[in-house]
Amino acid sequence: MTDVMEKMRRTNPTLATDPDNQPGSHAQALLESITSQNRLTRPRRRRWVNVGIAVAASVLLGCALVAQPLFGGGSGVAVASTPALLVYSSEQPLAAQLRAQKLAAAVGRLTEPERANTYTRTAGWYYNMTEGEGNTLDPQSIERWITPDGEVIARHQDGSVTDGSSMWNGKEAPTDPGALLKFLSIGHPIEEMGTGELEVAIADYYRESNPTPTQRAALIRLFGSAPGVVSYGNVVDRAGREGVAFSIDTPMSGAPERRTLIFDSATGYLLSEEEVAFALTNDGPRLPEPRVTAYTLFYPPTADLPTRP
Amino acid sequence: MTDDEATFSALYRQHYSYVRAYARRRFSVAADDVVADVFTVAWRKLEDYEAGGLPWLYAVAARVGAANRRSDARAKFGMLHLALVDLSTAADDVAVEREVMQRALSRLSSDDREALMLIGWESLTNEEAAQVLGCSTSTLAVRLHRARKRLELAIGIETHNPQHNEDITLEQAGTLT
Repeated sequence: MTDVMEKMRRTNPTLATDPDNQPGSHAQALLESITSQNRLTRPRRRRWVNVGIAVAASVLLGCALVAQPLFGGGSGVAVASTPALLVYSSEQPLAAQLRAQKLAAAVGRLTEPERANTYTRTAGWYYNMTEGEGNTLDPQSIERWITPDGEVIARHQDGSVTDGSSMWNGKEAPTDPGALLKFLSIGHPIEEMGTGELEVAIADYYRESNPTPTQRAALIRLFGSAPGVVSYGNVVDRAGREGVAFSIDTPMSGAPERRTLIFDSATGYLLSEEEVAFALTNDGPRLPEPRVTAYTLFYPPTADLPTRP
Repeated sequence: MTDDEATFSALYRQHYSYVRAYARRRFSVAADDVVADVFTVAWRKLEDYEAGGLPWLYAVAARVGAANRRSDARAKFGMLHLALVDLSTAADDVAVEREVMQRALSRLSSDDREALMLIGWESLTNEEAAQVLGCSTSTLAVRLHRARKRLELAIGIETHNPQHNEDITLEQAGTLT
């Protein structure tokens, strides 16, 4: 053991033997809660724990709001406003793989000038169910500047600036399907969570990168061929842009939901991510009919990049 | 109680405190959420859990913790590189040393940091740490060798007037091998 490792041991901030880490009543309750679940169901994310209800403050881009009860009916039940569902060209799910391959083939042939891979912009909304966050309906607009070494500087809608690190340390996504899946699994437990997590990873990659045409084609091909992915055809997103939609139904956030990626039908650039929750049959929050719980709009890079804060 | 429940309960009681300590070091206030998610995955993949034991749990915790951190980041983008455990209860000299160590660790890459923490704080063997990180033991040994040197350098920077050295990178401070 070297000196530096001895120092690490000496400065260990918490040991497994500390009283705070011993299993108490909370651990016993957790054990009983876990073993009461069917082993074949997927894990529930904390996001759905201790859900509170609030009323929408605002929604970006003037998208329609519909005020309807979010959870069940009856007196005393809080009401929340959620954006209207998008209208897709097909009500029935269509096979995704062929559609994705066709789009990817066209996108992969595109040629584009050298791109700036240092700035991205997203805007959107989500129903905040994070514990301790006040359960408000948050509009959010975020600009991100990504440095070559993977630092991400974000400027938020309120003008505040934060910094963090890139999931991928500024690295470029490979285009080989196997390598791409492995790459996207960084910071994203796709193996544990399934195709829903792949959807999240692709959207996150777009938050940190402006993929090239070949990378965009590879991302479309990968998602379109992933287990459970279907297409509901074309759709106009909340910024009025037409794209091709690919969706996965998943319970990975703790409740049945549909997660959709909408790709530009000409450039293959990711335009939007949509999350829609469905009614539950388990002990989670009751959503009497499909509701939009989040969406994000992605804006392709422009020639004039804003100055980094 | 079914056989699965009995097996899982025994493993849970054996590993709970280790996973909680692991999560508290890395995910601070979100530690309990990570612990709950990790054992939920373990219950669903009980066969893998039985085969992989504690290193397997740590690998799941790393991925689940990263996913939870990302969810938080969607709201605030407040990514924590390292959970800062409350130091106020420690003796003064240990508290100072811990603060230096945490600042030094935060200067390292996440790969270096995780390798060091698995050995130094989780007390895993090289073989177990390699299992968590999904690499070979020889790869881990090389990574550890370099990470220790970087950590020594970072401790040096943090020990000597850290407030004036915030912009110094490890590469600027010395040659690394």
